[in-house]
Amino acid sequence: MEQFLSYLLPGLMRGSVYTVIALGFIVIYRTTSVLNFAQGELFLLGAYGVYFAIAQVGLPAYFGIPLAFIILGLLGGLIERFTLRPLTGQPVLGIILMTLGLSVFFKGVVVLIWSDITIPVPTIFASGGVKFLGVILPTQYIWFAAISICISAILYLFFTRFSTGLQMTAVADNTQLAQSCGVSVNRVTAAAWVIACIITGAGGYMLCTITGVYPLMGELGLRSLSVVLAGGMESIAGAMIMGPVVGAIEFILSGYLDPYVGGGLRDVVAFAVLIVFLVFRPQGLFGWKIIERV
Amino acid sequence: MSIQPCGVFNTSYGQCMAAIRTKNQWITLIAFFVFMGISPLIFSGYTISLINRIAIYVVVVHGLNLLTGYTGQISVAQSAFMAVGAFTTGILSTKLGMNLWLCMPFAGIVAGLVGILFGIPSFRVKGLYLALVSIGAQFIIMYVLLHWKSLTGGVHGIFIEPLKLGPIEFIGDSSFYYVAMGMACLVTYFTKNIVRTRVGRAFIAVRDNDIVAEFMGVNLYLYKVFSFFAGCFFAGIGGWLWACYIGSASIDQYSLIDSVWFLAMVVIGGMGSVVGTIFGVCFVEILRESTNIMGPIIGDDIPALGMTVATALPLLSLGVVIVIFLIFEPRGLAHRWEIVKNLYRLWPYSR
Repeated sequence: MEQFLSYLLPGLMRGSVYTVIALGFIVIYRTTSVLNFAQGELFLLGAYGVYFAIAQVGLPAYFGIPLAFIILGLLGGLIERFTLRPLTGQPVLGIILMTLGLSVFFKGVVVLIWSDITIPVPTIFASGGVKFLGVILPTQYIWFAAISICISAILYLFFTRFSTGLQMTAVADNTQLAQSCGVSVNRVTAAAWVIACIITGAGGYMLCTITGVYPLMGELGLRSLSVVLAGGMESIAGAMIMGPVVGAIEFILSGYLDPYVGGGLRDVVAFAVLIVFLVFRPQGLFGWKIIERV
Repeated sequence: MSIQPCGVFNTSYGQCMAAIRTKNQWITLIAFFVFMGISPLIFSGYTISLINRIAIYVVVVHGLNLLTGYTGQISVAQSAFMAVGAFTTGILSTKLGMNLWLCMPFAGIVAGLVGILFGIPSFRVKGLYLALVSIGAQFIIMYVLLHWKSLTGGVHGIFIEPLKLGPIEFIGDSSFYYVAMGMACLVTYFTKNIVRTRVGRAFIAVRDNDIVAEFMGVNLYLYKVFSFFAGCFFAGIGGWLWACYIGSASIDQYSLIDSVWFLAMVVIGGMGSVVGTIFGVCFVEILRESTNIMGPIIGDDIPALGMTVATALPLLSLGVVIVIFLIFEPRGLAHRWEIVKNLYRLWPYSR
């Protein structure tokens, strides 16, 4: 039991970072129906941006971290304006390849500027641990869980109470109708990208304070695709629940099975979850759209 | 349908169906074959190695083009299926001592069957969701190949003997050239004919509107399975070629980024076009090679950028090329080629 808990609790809390990254996917998807495969690299840019602002430029943390995220948000707006807006109405393959191309491009930028070595990201979370149910939890993980719950709650309020959030839902539901009701589709999609980039950057920063950041970590961002899909592509609550669940499944399975399969199971569990969900319940647990069925 | 040259009239169905129609096309084709046959004597080993890679990628990308360009089933896992082919070759030739030539169909078939396995979700979902399945497939296949150590040798991979035909050993660039180019020509011929027949038309119908296709009597399941099988079969053959070419099957050459390169080749060349695939592979591969050459030179000239520019430049240029093509020429180089051809055929009335 003790061993089980020692896998379960850190898994749940680390999974809450997946929630944050998944929220980035969801904000873009539910507004524009674009699944942004460049999310992994935006997540990297968040971590590298903070590293740049604090360690390389020497800004204080309370100023440097928000600044890095704001710049990342502006970058998101630029991405939407110059690469995805011209593709409106193109087949889905074009859009997928565009985001894949962007991801390759940003990976190139990251390698060019920071090389491909592992860089320790300056942390603002206190080290040390808390003993809970006989398991020592790093304080960082508790912060992650708290921050991810906060972000989810804010986003939920944003989408249900605020005018821009409601407009985003309207655009997602029926672009033309929303436009004829006076919603500026361009403004709303740009806003979605800005918000998504800020959230993703924050998630990337949090995760990279544990392991340090290196260019291949972008593939980790793809792992949270399983959270997006399992929770439902549009559902914030779904991501909030499934993030920790997927994190826990990863930790438990890799904890118990790694000795038998030779390690590294954590890297693929999320993708297995993804495929299982796609086969048996493609709309996810809480998705609200009728999926394109064949 | 492109415009026929002036003065060419079809007087029988056979002529209408012929892929090569005019005397000039026959002359060009024969000249091309002769040129290809003697080119190892003309070009240096470096150029030949580039052509070899292009030929192998042509085989792989024809498969991806059948799957993605013609049938519209998005796959971001083509390099993983290539890896399946390469490792099948390695396992069969070392563990079972099978002749390497005999391994070729098996490499294709095993890759095709794995492709069908991951294509099963395509019966329920399509478009974006299928892209997710294939990303999952890429990671899961590579994980299995890396961790099934007793069979695949893990990170070390499998060493493969050089390809032999009687006394001739296909080792080194200029002799392997004939194998690679031969396979590329064969697969191009095969693909060109698949897409002109009932199967190819069914693929296009599935891509353009699957409901109407089913209504018109196209068996969706059958053709999707066949499309996955064919696409991954060619990937497996490409993997066989690649494994024989470099003399080993190893994990590190089949990553997600390679799959993105393949998808970029399809889109840059022009989806749903056989000649476009060849254009796309040539364009992207020459781009990659030139950035590989340029990278260290730029790194030397501008020390501030350091040596990281050599790794970064191919990625940056691929990203930029994808973005530019998708925005300005989403129909790819094949579309440009059609325009040029029609301008030439209609000259002097083309302006």
